[in-house]
Amino acid sequence: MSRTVAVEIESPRRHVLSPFFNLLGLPFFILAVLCSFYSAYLLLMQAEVGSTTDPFPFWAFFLHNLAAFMTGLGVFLALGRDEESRLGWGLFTSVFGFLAGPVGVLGAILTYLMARGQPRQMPLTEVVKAEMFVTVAEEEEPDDLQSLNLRVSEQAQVEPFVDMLPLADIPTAIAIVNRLRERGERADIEMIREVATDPRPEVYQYALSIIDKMEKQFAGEVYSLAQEIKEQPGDAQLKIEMAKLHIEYMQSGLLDESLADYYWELTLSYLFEAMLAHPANAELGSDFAQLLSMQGLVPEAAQVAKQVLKKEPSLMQAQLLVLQDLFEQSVSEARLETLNTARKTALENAWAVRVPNKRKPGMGPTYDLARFWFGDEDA
Amino acid sequence: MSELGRSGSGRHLEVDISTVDNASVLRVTGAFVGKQVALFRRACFQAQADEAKHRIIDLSEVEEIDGYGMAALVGLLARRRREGGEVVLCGLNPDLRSVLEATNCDSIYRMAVSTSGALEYLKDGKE
Repeated sequence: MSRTVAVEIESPRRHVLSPFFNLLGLPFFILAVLCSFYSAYLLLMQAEVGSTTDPFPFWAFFLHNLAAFMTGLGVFLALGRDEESRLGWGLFTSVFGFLAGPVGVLGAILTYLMARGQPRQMPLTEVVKAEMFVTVAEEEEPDDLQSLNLRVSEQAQVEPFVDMLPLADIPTAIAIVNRLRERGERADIEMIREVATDPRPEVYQYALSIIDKMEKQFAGEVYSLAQEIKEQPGDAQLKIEMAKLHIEYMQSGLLDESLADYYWELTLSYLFEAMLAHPANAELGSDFAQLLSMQGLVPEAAQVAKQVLKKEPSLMQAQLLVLQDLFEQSVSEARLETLNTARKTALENAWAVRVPNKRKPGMGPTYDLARFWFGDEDA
Repeated sequence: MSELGRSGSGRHLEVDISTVDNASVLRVTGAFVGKQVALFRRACFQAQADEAKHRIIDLSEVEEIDGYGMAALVGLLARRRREGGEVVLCGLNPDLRSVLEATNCDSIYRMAVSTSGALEYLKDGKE
């Protein structure tokens, strides 16, 4: 397996548009200021010489409105097409200009300038093209490179990206966050969490917004499933889906550590509801064992896994948990011969079947352990 | 002995807490289901004040249990085991036992017929 990483920073538009001030808005701002001040001048002059019988100052009113409009339009254009909130900012500054006259126009332009440092959805496409490619060679892995050591070194290749983040510029850091999100594995989400501690507001706020989006997506899925369950309380499949969704969330890396116990118990309750509604589903028992293992209850997990394997001997997750328990027993007793006995016992069992070439989500270290023990010949 | 109780929408749950030797005994009465399970969690939290290492859960007066009740029991087991304690269930009627079997929980709990049997197990096996 190989990983290639390339970061390209190049954009011809960067030379035209300053990253600090978008020149597209400048003519509109100038026009807005001129119109606004001239409108104010006309109105003041009229008040000085006029009387109550004077006609309504249409010309000054038109200029005043034009100034407000130009201010909003300038902000709208200056923020660029990739800023999703540009219409809102345009309207806001426009109304500001309309209500407060010349002071409002100046204030609106200042608001735009002062807000330039805030994070935006996709700043890269406008000012910088930075892309990180991570390619993984598919399935053509030499058998002898499938060991635990390789897994460790593979992780070591990814780690430096987080270490180098303080050195990367803001757009590159954001590109890395985007790439991690696309990959979406637990380790990637955990890295995004690390990026969220970056001292630069643009970077950490962007990382937090990505985590927030993913959490909202989960919450939305839970809500819609909960509604369906409310409408069809007898549907066992819905309960299974709810349990699986929570397990997925727990394994996603999104879960805050302080809430881990709460979510663990909540996931268990959904899982038990699903098991009671669908007692024949052995896979749910395997999920239960996996949840126990997540809390460090490995012997208990192995007990459950053994029961599940009696019903459904082909469940890989349960097999690996039994294996993990055997291994931990050997280590805790600190006897190498026990390890060999455990390995032999595992191999003699009917469930010692081929371990998949690629680690599946949720298998965790037990997968590496299985590869370490079985290899391809023994599997 | 302290007692926590709550009733609502026709269903009722009570949890009595007492301490014997090195174990807190939580006697659960009523429907161990749904949101009422929060009461049991609160009782577990209160039992921590006794500083007893083990927990005995007397379920002889439990009329029914669902996934939420089971999750609370397993949650208690996880916390106790983390602190080197044990959880023993006692007084299970056939219905509860079948729920435990359906959820594969029967293999992870120590079970006794009565509270005294559970205390005996803790004395012999754990201390």
